[in-house]
Amino acid sequence: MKPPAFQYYQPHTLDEALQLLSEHGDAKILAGGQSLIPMMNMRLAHPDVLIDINGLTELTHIKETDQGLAIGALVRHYQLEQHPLIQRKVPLVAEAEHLIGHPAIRSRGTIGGSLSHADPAAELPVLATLFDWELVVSSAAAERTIPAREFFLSYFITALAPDEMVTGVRTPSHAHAGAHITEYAVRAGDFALAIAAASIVLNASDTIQSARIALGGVADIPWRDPDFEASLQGQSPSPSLWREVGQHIKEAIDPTDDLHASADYRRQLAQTLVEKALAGALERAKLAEMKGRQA
Amino acid sequence: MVPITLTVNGVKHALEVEPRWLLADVLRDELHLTGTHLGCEQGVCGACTVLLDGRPARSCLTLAVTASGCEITTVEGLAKDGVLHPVQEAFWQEHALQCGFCTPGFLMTAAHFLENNPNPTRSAIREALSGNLCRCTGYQHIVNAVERAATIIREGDSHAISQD
Amino acid sequence: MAIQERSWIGRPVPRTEDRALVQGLGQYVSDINFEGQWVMALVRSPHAHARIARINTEAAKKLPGVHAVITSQEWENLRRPLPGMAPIAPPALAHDRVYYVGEPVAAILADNRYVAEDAAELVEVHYEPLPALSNAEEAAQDQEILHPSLGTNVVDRVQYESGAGRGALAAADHVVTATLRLGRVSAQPMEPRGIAAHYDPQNQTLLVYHATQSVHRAQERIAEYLGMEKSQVRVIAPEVGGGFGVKNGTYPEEALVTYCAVHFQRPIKWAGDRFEEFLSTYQEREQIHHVELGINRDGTLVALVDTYYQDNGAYPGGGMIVSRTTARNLPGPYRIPHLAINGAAVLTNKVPQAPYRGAGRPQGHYIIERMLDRAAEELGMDRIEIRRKNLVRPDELPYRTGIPDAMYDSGDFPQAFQDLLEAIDLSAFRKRQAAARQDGIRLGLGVANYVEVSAGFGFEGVRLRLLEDGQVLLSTGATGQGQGHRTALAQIAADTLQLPLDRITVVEGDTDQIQKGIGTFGSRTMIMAGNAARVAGEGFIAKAKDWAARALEAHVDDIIFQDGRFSVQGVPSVSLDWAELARKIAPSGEMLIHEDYFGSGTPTYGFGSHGMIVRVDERTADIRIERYVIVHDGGTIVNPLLANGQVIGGTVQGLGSALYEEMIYSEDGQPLTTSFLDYRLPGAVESPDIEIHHRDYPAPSNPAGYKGVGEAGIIPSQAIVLSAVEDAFQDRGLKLDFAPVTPGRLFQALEEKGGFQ
Repeated sequence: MKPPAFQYYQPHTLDEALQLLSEHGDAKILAGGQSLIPMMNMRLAHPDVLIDINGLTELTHIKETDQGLAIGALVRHYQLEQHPLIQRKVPLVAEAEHLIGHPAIRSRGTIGGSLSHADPAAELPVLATLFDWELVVSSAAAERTIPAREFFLSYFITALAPDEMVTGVRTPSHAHAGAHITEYAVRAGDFALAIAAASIVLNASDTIQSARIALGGVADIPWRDPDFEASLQGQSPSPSLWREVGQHIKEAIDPTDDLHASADYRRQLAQTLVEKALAGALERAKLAEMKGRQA
Repeated sequence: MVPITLTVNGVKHALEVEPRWLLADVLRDELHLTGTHLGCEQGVCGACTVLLDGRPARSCLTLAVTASGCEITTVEGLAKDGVLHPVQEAFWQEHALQCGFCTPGFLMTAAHFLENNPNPTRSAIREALSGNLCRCTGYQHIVNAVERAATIIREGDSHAISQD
Repeated sequence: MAIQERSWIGRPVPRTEDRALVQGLGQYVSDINFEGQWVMALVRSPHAHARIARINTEAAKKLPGVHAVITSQEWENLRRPLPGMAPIAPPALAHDRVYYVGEPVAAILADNRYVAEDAAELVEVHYEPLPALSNAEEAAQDQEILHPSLGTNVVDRVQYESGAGRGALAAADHVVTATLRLGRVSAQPMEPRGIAAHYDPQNQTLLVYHATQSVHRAQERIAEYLGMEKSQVRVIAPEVGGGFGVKNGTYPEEALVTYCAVHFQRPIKWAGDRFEEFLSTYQEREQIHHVELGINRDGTLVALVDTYYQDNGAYPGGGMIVSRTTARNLPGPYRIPHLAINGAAVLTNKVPQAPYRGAGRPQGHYIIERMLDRAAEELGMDRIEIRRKNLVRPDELPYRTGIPDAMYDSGDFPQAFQDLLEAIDLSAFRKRQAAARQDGIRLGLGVANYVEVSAGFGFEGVRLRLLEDGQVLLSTGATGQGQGHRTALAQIAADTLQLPLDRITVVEGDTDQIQKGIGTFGSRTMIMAGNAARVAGEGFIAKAKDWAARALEAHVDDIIFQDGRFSVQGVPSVSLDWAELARKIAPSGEMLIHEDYFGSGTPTYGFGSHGMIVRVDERTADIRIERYVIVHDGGTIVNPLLANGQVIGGTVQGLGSALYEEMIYSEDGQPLTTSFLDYRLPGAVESPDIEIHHRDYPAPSNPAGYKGVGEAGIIPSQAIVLSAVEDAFQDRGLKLDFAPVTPGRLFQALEEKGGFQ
């Protein structure tokens, strides 16, 4: 299990990297390598050109902006887990990191890599979808942003053009909302069979001002339904409402059978996890609302 | 072939490598540090775990070129001046290894974990070790050993214990 | 030199081998490099069954760094069947047909593994796919025969009958029937298989470093295949990174590496990788049983009738042993007066079966334990009660099970079971279980009893040599893979020779160090090599007395050996210890060496009881182990630290095959779980802390009283997990008939009972 040969570039600036990418349409970007290298070791990926961006310090930032945070594509999982800004502004990201792989994987894997890999059963794509992150995407010619919900197209397929790479993420702060993520994996650190994440903002009257729900592992991309979310506005949160939501989602999703879980099993997991995620989000929304009132 | 430098267990090495060579293979074949084992070459088993700039990393998923300029610690670098590291001592005393193939990866993971978690619970230890597979021990004695290592480190008496 | 005040036997001594291992200084095959070596990679069949039309190796041969691309089309010698596998053995490289995904088709020799794998990708093999057999029960019908020379796919049948056999069912009050399955599992030692060979053309000798469980058997096979004398082949097992049974048999890579080393007069090394470990290392457990259990109204077992099929894969492997051991384990520790067992090992288009830790013991116990649960349900009887009623009592020992030559000889099975129930506190658990169910939490208790039949054939040897510095070198053919023999055998020898532990160095697994050996498998080493160490020690002391007599100028009959010193009777002031004796011997140029063997045709019968509590989440089908308790008999325990390590390790490995691990094949014989992501070994979080209570009864059949302990843990694991999960849903009548019970399978089984409520 050794990787095939490739042409290797180690650019020192983003411009240099993007230039290389425009010259080599079949190039692969190497960031943390936690998904790409296994594919190469198994010879399931044979990239002709590898552009190693690990030296691009300009992609390692975590910065506060007017809207929330700007996170460089090379920020690694352990940094998302530990960085004070992440913990304060997007606490669910820090929390979700505990569910991602194992310590050694989190040492190397990056936010940009995880999103570009577009595994619908991975945690960060679910959060990107839940919180409507914008992905900053660059080519030698231009920079643009792609909303998360337009970025993921199918299993491991994204809206990136061959000469583009993800250089960063813009995420609104969700510190004012109550949010929770939960998943079911057979063993600790395994890819989850299903993931559910929810975020709730309460009105002063303790009714739902807004609710968001995203799922992983139940479709070819992270699943979300804003129309359905809108129908929850103004309702009083309660276990019975969560049961209704769970039931609705169980019927709305269309997962497939695979080696480890049948479609029916995934439906039941999704239903269960959605209820749990909403209940967890509500607890925190109440806290957030209390804090808001005190402030 | 491209030139790289690796600082391994405090010693700086200038090497010529193929870009595709995995860090694990360079450590094993070029530097003859064969304590780093390859168990799956897919990032699951953790046998190849080394510390890369102080953090645990899979040397089977890291190209040696990417690691150029980095500080690497392998299992051979844990003991200092013939005195075993507390995790090594504790693995030995608690019978935390049988065939020993997975052991270097566990030691590196545990050594890093204890740096930041001096007084861990058993379940926290199990969580920290979840990225390392062992097929012989059933983990129980490994957990015992990490607990014991934590005690040794806390009490700062690793030297007293190690000199037998 | 301090003389130990008490016996080394029974002391939890940390292992002598570990100082090197914790520093990464252990040398495994993959760590050994010969000057100028070529490494091997293999082109393996992607088809479960196909005809090979042609192979084009031109592109691969031209690749820089490639030295040879070998096929049996060109190399007719490599079409010969491999030694040590009857009645039908594969060739080293397939030539006209492939029989399983992973079968070697071409071998690449290159400068390094990177280039070798590049070349493997360039070999073009044109296959004509054939229909694959992937179901043993169907294959047993012989509609299509895989190997026409055999005339059938049933490579072995095992038949045992005792009492009135099947006829006894008619006399039973009830007959409980079930079809029970075990999925296919893979041992997956952390070190993949590997072998490196170096040929010395001048002396015509071959040096082989081999990740094997038996250097002497490997030496025999290699010599036979290469047409060499055994004395020309030296096999050394360096550190071996786990074996569990699968590093013990005939494999094509062994033949290929050694053949090429001689042919090219070049060192050759093959260090298998994880993918190869999934595709080519022999697998186990896969069986389907159709069982009828005759039972009386009061719970007394009357008759067990079992017809089963073992999916043996494409070649015998060592699968026939598994099938036969399954039959012998079917009665477990229970009294069953009438047996009718009919098992078939059936060839299919999968990786061959070979013994994996337990090797039939888990299968046999799985069947009887599952059937007891079914019978209890049928009779409305408690699962505990039915077991109590049928366990063989100590007053019945020695007890013949009805299987030829199987006679339980020691212990107290009902007491062990009682001790287990007390440790678990059964009544407290039942209360807690009922209370938890009110809160929607499902707890379940599983119990199982077992007998661990170990050794019972052959011999093992120990050779002792006094070194000049007074240390003793102990060599044995028992080839460990992490069991800690170097410590345990040293403890035994230290007692006999009255030496401190650190004065004894143990070398295991080197054919140059001892003439004969069988190897380490089936929990046999302490029984065989352990007793051999005692026997050899006594002979060694006798020879030492000769030397002492000369040195002390006395008659040998007057030499006494006490507290590690040789002296003349009545003159205790003049004496020699081993180091002094060594110095007296040295000038003669002779050496004090003694080699001796211990053989026994009687197995040992360890036994025990396991109990576990699981917590099951009805909605996610998640199963967590809350508690695991073992009452265990391991005979005379040499080193409790090591014995417990074996029991705990075996148990967790068994929990893997009960909860997570399964080699899944598609209907056309494609393996679908070929990585650690899809084939899930239990990890630290999933594994429980295990409580062990020792009830050790020395084996009456060997002088030291040793019994096997290596398989005790794994035997009841599949039975007990299914039992525990069923118990959690006893009110719903959940029935499980397949191990492992993965979350996906449990979900399905619960759906059949109406799903989440």
